[in-house]
Order: sequence, then C-alpha cells, then structure tokens
Amino acid sequence: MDNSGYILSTQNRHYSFTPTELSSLRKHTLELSLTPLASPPALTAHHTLKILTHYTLTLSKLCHHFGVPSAVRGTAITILHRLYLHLSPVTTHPKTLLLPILLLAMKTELGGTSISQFIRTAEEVGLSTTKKELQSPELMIAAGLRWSLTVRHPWRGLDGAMVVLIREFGDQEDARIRKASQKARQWLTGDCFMTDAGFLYTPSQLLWAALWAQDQELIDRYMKGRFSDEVAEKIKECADVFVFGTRKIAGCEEEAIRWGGAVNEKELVSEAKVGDRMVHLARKELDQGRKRAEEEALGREAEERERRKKKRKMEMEKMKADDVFGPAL
Amino acid sequence: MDTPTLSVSADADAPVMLLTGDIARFNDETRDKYTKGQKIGEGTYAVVFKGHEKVTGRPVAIKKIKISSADDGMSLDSLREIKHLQELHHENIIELLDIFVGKRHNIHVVLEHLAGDLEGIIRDTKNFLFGSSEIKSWMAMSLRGLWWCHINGVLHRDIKPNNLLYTTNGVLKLADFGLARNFGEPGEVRMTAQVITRWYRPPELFFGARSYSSAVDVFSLGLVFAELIKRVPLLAGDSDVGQLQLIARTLGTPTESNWPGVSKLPSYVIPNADDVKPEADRAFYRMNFFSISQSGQDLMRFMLRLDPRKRISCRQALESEWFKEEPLPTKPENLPIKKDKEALEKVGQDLKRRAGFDERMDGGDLDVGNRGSKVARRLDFGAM
Repeated sequence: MDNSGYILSTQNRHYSFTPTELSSLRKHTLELSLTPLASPPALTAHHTLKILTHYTLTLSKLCHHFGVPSAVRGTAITILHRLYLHLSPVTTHPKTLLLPILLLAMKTELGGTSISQFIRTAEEVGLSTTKKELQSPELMIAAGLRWSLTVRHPWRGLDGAMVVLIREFGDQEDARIRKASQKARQWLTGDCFMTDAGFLYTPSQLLWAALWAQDQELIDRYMKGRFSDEVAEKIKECADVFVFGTRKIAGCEEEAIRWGGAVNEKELVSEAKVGDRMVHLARKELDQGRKRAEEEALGREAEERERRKKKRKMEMEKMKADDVFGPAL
Repeated sequence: MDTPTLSVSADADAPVMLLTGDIARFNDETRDKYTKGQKIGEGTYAVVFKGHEKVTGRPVAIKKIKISSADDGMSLDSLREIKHLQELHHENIIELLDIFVGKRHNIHVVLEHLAGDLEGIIRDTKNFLFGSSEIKSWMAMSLRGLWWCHINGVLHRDIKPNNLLYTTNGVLKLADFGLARNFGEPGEVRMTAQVITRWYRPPELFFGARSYSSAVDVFSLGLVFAELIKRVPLLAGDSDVGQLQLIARTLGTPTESNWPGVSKLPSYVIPNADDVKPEADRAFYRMNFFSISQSGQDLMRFMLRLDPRKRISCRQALESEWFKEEPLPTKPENLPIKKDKEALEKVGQDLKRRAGFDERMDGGDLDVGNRGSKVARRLDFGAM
C-alpha cells in the first residue's frame, strides 16, 4: 500500500511505534529527567502528555495567527510531538520552544521566512521574543528529532484518493466522494493532531481511516478485494479508536498514549495545570542543583586562580633572590 | 577561491541551547562512532575531513558545517541537504550515514566516502579516453539516482558534472542536495526560478517559471550527457542573458509554435530576435554527436527539448534503446576513475561547496536562502 520510499523514510524508521513502545519511550524520557532529583514529584507520563496536548492546542492557535498553510502547521505540531518523545518538560518546557519550532517548520516547509516579520507577528499576540531566543534551540530541536525534518502528511494523498474513488464509482457518486474527502481533510488537519494516531499508523492507513469514518459503506466497497483483511482491519481500528474514540486497542491500557475522542479544553487546561505545577517544582530543584554545580565550578576556578597567583609570586621572589645583581635596592 | 574564515572560536561562543538527557546521549554516541582524520577541503561554508567508522573501519567523509554566525541559525542549504538525504536511500545517491553536533556546536554530516567526480574525468583529456559504453554507464546510473529523487517527490535542482561523484568501485552517486526541494504537492507555494548552476539551467527558469517540474533536472542531465561526449560544456554562457541566447542559438528559439504557452511566462523574451532558430532537430544531433548511435542522439534530443512538457522523464530515458544496444554499458568496476590525491581533494571541494556555487563561474546567484540581496537579481532584457 505504501511505496518503498515510505519503508525507508525517517518517519517509518524513527517515528513508527506500537502503543507499548510509544508509551514506554515516554516513560523512559520522563524518568531520565527526574533521576537527578533527590525528591522527585509524583509526575507521570500521563501528566506530561496533558501538558503536551495543551501546548499542541496553543501551537495550533499560534499557527492560525501566523496564517501559515496546513503543511507548516502540521509539521510544527509533529515536530513538537516527536521532540517530546526524547525531551521532558522538566528539562525544557514546551512553552519556550513553540516559536522556535514554528520557525523551523517554516524553514523546512517554505524555505525560510523573515525573522523580523516573525518577531512582529509574535508580538501581536503578546509574545515577545528575540532572534537569539528563536535560534538558540534550533540545534537541540534538530538533534532531538534525530535530524528527521520530513513529515509525511496523510492529507497529501487525499486528492489522489479522490481520483481513484471517482474512477471506481463514477460521476454519480462524485458529490458523495467530495463530501467524504472534505470531512476527512478536516479531521486529518485538525483533531488527528490531538491524538497519537500519527505515531501508530502509516500516512495511507490514516488517510483511508479518515475516509472510512466519513462513509463506511462506500469505502468498504472500495477496500474489498484491494486491501488485505489485515490492512482493512487496521484502518477500521484506527477510525474506531482515533476518529470516533469509541474503543481502545484490544489488550492495551497504556496510560502514556493520546487516544481519540473529543478534547474538552477546560478539562485539559486544569489537568495540564496539575502537571505543570509539578514540572515547575522539579525544574526549581534542578535549577538549584545546576546553580550549585556552577557555583562550585566557579569556586574551584577562583581557588585555582588564587593558587596560581601565589605560585607566580613565589617564583618572582625566587627569581629575584637568584638574580646575580641581588634584590632591588 | 574561498576566503579562509577569520575565527573558529566564534562558534564556541554562539548562543546555542545545550543538548540534554537522551538527546545528548544519542548525539555523543553518534559522534563517538567516528574518528576524524585529515582535512580534504575547506571553504567558508564547510570543512571536509576524511574519517573512519571505528567499528567497521569503513572510510567516510565528515562535513563540518560552520554556522558562520549565530545570527543565521542553520543555513537553508544544510537544512535542505539533511532533510532530503535522510529520506533518499538509493545505490546512486550519496549516502548520509549520520549527523551529530560537535563540541563547538557545529553540525557534522557523515557521508559515504567517494573517490572523485565526473568533472575531473571529463576535463582530464590527457589521461582519460572513454566512449559510448562508459558514457552509457554513467548516464544510466545518473538517471537511476535522479529517477529515485523524482518518484520520491524531490527535485535536485543542481545537476552538473561536479555533483556527480563516484566510489572507488566506479559507482556513480548524485551529491549536493543543498538546493533540493519537494514538488508535486497540491496547493504548494510557488518555487524560485533562481536555481541550477547557469550552464546547466533550462530555459523555463530563465523565463521565470514558478511552477516547474522534474523536467528541469532532466535538461541539466541532458547537458551533462552532451559534455561527456564533447569534453567541454555544451552551453557555457558568461551571463544569464548570454546563457539564454546560447540556448536559443544552439537548441532553438523558444516560441509559441515549439512550446505552446511559453510567451505567458513572466520573463519571456525572444533572446535572439535577429536570428530566430527552429528547435534543434535530428540533423543537429547527428552532426554534433556523431560518435554515439542514432538512439543515443534521440535520447539526448528528448532530454533537451525546449518545452519541459515534451522532455522525457527519467524512467522513459532509462527505457531508451540506447542502453540495450551494443556496446552495452561498462560495468561500474571497470569504469575509469582518478585515484590520485587531486581527485580526493576535488571531492573535498565538491562536498564543502555551497549549493549552487561554482568557482569556475565566479560565484553563484542562486537561491541558497540567506545569501542576501543577490537572490533577488532578475533578468533585465530591457537593457539588451
């Protein structure tokens, strides 16, 4: 179903998981960030995911404000999600990275933008930033993404899918196909980002799941005989779990997964706040530890300077004593 | 010549957010996989080192990209190169093995080791004689690499002999993806016409076309094909205006009759109004490229059609009779390669070169993003 280009793509090699893999990766990243703490807070991957989902919404609003095409918005949001597989909010808070991520997405999708214009646009919504703040996290973000800057957006295949469907069912189904396609696009460029579907299914599975969710009868007819039962099942599972949110994947009760279903923004904000408070406490301790380490290092440096000064003084005196003309008069 | 950089230590002071946790560990592990050896090329934009993968002993090239100023962040050409090479895996495309951040926050791109480039062989008329079988082999490998780019939705946009490199086994590899970009996405933004090194740039770009296709790369490769036979560039214009005139005089004047719609392109002019030529026909190719067979001449003609819609695709080109008839393409391991120090240095030059920049042509005027105002330079036919 997917061409060989996809098999070798970074998306498939680095960002395609089973729910269990995805969930344990997130837990591992969080644990790693809490290790240096003497008294780590009861922060779980569930909390950090709520924070992430909250900032996904913020980033999405930011993209609308910037008026970027859906490719840029999709890439920015995907960068945020991919990055936080390896990064914990305790180490670097997502809110500090939203603008740099948007800028990077514009660079990879559009080939750059004017920085001063970018800063002005951010200021319009009360976000003040500087060129330095925008660019200093760039390497960290790129390295955190394992240098995978290509995002294969499922909706890019929609026009092609529409053509094959119209060819299959003829012009009399034209309106029906267009309607399904339009609604599928809405989901793929919208609520889909609130879920982890992009990490668990291939772009074409997502695309057909989005279409099937809109018109089961029609897409069932199309898939019959074309897709293997296994693939068709996978597509329906994706639609049930992530488009409708009516079931979970059998035998999978992972807490660190963003399942489907409607997102209640109010609830999300309050849940994210609970997590954010703990993140804040943990960061405070980390910063103190970092500060102590820096001070110690500075202290060692000062001692070293003092020691060298003494040594130089002694050497000077020794030189003077050794001077054949004797000490200064 | 490239000017040497004034200060390396400036990079160390660059305000860069440190890598932490898992990200730092992964980066360090990647960095520790390689040893960096002797420098083989240096420019203002990058330094290229010879290197080895510690475990396997496999030779590699390590390209250290200088972030010349923290102001610019990651340059667009290194970003493009990394983005596209990460996705394109093919026998005839240079392999990107790894990327890591060095101790002074420079990006290091680890590439497979290559022995030389086609330009070095084409120019060295004293030491290298080759004919149809060799050219067939190089063309087939270039076309295969380019075909893979195109079916994966990537335009190379800088095909020329010094971006066609080869391994010690003679296998040809497309390199330098600093100008590459995705194409064929619905509703996409308009593309810049300021791409492809001038001597290899197709007419539609001189006319300011903003939605072009894989046919731009096919045209460039068609000119490499001609150069492999002639041993000099077929169309070596000394300015953009001169280049377009050269195309018109050699391959024909683009007009509505040979290229419907051409006059609607934003910068369309008839470059040789006093001397309008019909599009080059079979007779032209027979006369100029008599050393290859009729089917080879046809292939070149189809690659160099003025109207991009009439140019053949890489796939169609690979199906040409020319590749199937005698003499058959030389096996890569039997192809001539340069083995001297000069060839290795040439690779160093190729890899460190800024995308679209060519020393032979005193600098580039291409869209490499942050090169500044030159990018906006437009063709001024009014002055002619």
